[in-house]
Order: sequence, then C-alpha cells, then structure tokens
Amino acid sequence: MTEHVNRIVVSSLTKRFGAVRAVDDLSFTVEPGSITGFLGPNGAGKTTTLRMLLGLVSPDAGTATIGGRPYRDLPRPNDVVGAALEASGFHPARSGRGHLRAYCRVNGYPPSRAGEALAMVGLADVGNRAVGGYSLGMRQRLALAGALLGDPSVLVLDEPANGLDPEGIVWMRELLRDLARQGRTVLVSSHVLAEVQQLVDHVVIINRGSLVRQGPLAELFAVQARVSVRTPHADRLAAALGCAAVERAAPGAIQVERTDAVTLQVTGLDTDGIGRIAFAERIELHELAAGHSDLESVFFALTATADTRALDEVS
Amino acid sequence: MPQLIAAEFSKLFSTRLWLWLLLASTALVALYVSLNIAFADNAVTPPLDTAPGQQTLFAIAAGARPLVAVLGAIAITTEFRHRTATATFLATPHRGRVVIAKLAAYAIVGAAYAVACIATVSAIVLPWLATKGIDVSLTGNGIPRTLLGVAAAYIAYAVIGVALGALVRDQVATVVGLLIYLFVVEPVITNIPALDAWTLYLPGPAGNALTQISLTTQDFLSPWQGGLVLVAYATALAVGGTLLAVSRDVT
Repeated sequence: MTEHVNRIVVSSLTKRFGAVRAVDDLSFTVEPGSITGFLGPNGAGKTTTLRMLLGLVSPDAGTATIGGRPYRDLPRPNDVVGAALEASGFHPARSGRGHLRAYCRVNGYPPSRAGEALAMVGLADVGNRAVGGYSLGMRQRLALAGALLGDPSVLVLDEPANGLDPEGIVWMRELLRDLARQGRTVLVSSHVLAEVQQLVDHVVIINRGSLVRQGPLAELFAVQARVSVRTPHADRLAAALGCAAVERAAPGAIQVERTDAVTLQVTGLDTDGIGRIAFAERIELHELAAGHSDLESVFFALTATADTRALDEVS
Repeated sequence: MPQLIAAEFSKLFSTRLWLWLLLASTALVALYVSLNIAFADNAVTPPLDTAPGQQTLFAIAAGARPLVAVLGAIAITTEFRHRTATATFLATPHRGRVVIAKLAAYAIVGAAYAVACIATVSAIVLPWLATKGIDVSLTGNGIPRTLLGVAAAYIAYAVIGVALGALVRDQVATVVGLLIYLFVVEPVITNIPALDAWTLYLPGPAGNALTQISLTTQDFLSPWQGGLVLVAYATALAVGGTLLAVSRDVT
C-alpha cells in the first residue's frame, strides 16, 4: 500500500506523565485537501499528541507518521510540514523578521522568504520590531508565518485562533481554506468550538487522551442533532422511541430527555424517523422541530456523556 | 551543517547581547592591562622590558574568557527559556546536530572575541610601552605563542559554556553557577597551596597553562596538557548535554 504523501496517520499513540495517561491508545487519520479540527477540552491531550506527531515528545507506545514516515525521519521536515505549536516561542529582543531569517538559514531558504511569510500573515509593517512588543494576536500570526516558511504541504497548528480578534479569525479561516483547497493537509487544534465550526471539514474529537469520534463535521451533526417534540403523550412516545432503539439493537443510539410534562428532546433520530414512529403508534404530536445544533452542544454531548450519566444515576 | 552554523550566527546577531558582552570583555582586559602597566613596579609582574614581562601583559587578553563562557551558555539556554527550542528542533529533528552546530559556531565566536581582546591589549600596550622607551614586537619575545594560547582559551571557554548550557538547560542556574564558580569558587580554591596537585586540572589553571602565565604562584600544566584538559571538560559536558537534549521531551 502506498501512503498518500500528505496523509497524517496516528496509530495507538500512548503517552504517560507519571500516573497520568495524557494520551491513551489514540488512533486517527487526517486526509489532505481539507481542514481537520482536532478538538477536545483543555487537558484532553491535544498538544501532547501534536508534539508526538512532530517528534518533540517521545511516545511510550504507538506511532505517528506524515506521508508514511515519522517526523524525525523526514529529510528536510520544514519543506513538508509547517507547524505552529505556540505563540510564545520567540526571543523577545529579536525582531519577527530576525526570527524567521534564522529558520530560513537553517533550511537554506533565501532570506527574502522571511519577508514573504510576514506579508502573508499581515505583519509586513511590524516585521522589524522586537517580538517583545507584539500582541498575542501578532505572535500567533508570526508563528503561522514560521509554519509557512517552507511552503509546506502539511500544516499542523495548535490553537492558532487563540488571541486573534474576530477579524483575525475570519482572515485565518480564509487563509487556511485557500491552503486546503490547494490540496494541503491542515490539522488545527482548538478547545474553543465556536472558532472552528465555520472552519473545519472534518473533526477528530478526543477527551482524556482517548478518541471520542472522528469524521466529517456534517455527519457529526446529523447523528447528534437534537429534535424537540411536544406531545400530550410524552410517556408513550418516550417508550415507543425506546422500543425503536432496542429493535435497532442499539439501545444507546437514541437518547430521550424529558424537559417538561409535554416536551421531549431526542437525539439519534431525525424528525422523519420520530414522526414515523409517532404515526405508527397513533401518538398525537403538537410540535416536531429539528433543534438548532452547534458544535458546542454536540461536543458537550459527546465528551460529557459519562459525567452526566453518573449525575443522572445519583439524582 | 554549514547552514545550521550560519543559522546560529543569524540568531546571535539578531539580538544585541554579543555586542554588550564584547564591549564588556574589551573593557575588562583594557582595565586589567592598564592597571598592570601602571603598577608594573611590583614583585609579581616581571619587568616590562623582558620577554616574560611582555608575555604577561598579552596573556592578560585572556582575562575576559569567562564572559564568552557566559555567552555560549546563554546561546543554548535561551532556546529553552524563550521556547525557541520548539522551532529549532522542528527544523532539525536530529537534536545532536543542533548542539554540534552551536559548539562550532561559538568556537568561532570565541576566536573572534580573542582577536578583539588581543587587539584591545595591543592598542594599549604598544603605545604605552613606547612612551617608556620599550619597543614591543608582536612577532618576538615568545609573544605569538602567548597569543595562540589566548585564542585557544577563549575558544575552549565558549565551547564549555555551550556544553554546560546543554546539560543544565536552566538559564539562570547555568549563568549564575558559571559566574560564581569562575569568579569566586575557583580563585579561592586555587589559592590553597595544599590543593595545588588537584586544582591544576580545573578550567582556570588549565586555561592559564595555555599561555603559561598567571599572576598566582601556582605551577602549570604544559600548554598541551592544559588544552587537553579543557577539551576533556568540553567533550564530557557536550556529550552529556547532547544525550539529554536528544532524550528529553520538548514540552
């Protein structure tokens, strides 16, 4: 099998820090030509995973490859992979241009490449100022410029929107979209879901070091969309939906939450499916509405399930 | 490798630290050599119209070598302090190559500091001694050998600074530790005659052995032995620092 040159494959990656399993048997793939969001709450293991992918942290088990090779085995890694891991990796007394020039030198790029990268991220005017005077948003842009120096086909960005103003987030979205459209692989981590909902095509969601879900964003919404049902026979409908789930041999696939005497919130079935079951059971419906669903609620549903179940059992 | 070394110079020259330390180094040796000429009529300094007297004056050019050790230590610890190590190791995942490039670059920097300090000392010694009617030739009286020793001492100290920084990583600990050792601990213990047999092998006396000049009464190793001792320190620290740099996670 020939690996696609730009594909990222993470396979059974594990890293322990003392007794804590920061990353636990994590596997996922990232395909070229689209933007993949790497999502999870703070402390989920996103940064550790990215650092293992980039050869900065050694995994306890598992592998991570880019185009079939571990990062450390890439002959000229910056030609292939551009990474921006933090907005803090700069010497405060060095200018943005000076910082980029040093890494042009390492890679044998012409020094003019530093100016081009600064222009790409909108820092051309401040490139000669010491980084110590930069705002967080400007440092984020500089980190992105560093990632773009080698015109790489794979971009790995850790929380790139952090510290950007709304205008900056729109700008970055356009830039990353362009880069993905050119066939590049773009992996963007974030814990702020509103930032990435408009940006990513695919998601990899992790929590406590383990994979929760990966797939196209649209599919995620389809599965997790909430439907609000108003009926005077809420008990009967809830029971009927429960039976439907059992018939499908997937008891957890349909979740029903009763918000008041006449209202149910259903996940795991769309309005057509609920309407069909209600009709078959001759249950009168007063309202059947596909709820507004955003990544945030989907995300909470996926990552907090274990916690809420525990709470339900207590109460 | 030439690209990696060029990148180290690019980093060095994109901040002002090298300039301040160079000014401090030349000022320091200018002060030392001026005091030695002004108060030459003492028991320690040999007469200035003799070869040993003139060699002593030029050996003073080596007096600022602790500062290049500090420069080398800062060069590598600053990568960890300001977290540029991430970008550096992303560009060069084989971290041993980064350490080697820094060692090579700062060997060159050490040599450049030596040239500047020798030039400063010459600019003071030659006209000043001429007013005393002493004509000094840089190519005579064993002075070339002294100057080579000065250059070797700077190179060795710069390399030791980089290697120590790779090992310790913490900038404050490395620089403060270096300064306390070189300016306090070593001068004290090398002045205890009972310990002479051992303190001969410390970096300071080994550096003095390169020029065969010291203002203390301690004996020397031969220049070759002194050089080998310094190379041994640098190698041990560099190997340890490289092994740690390769194995430790960059978080």
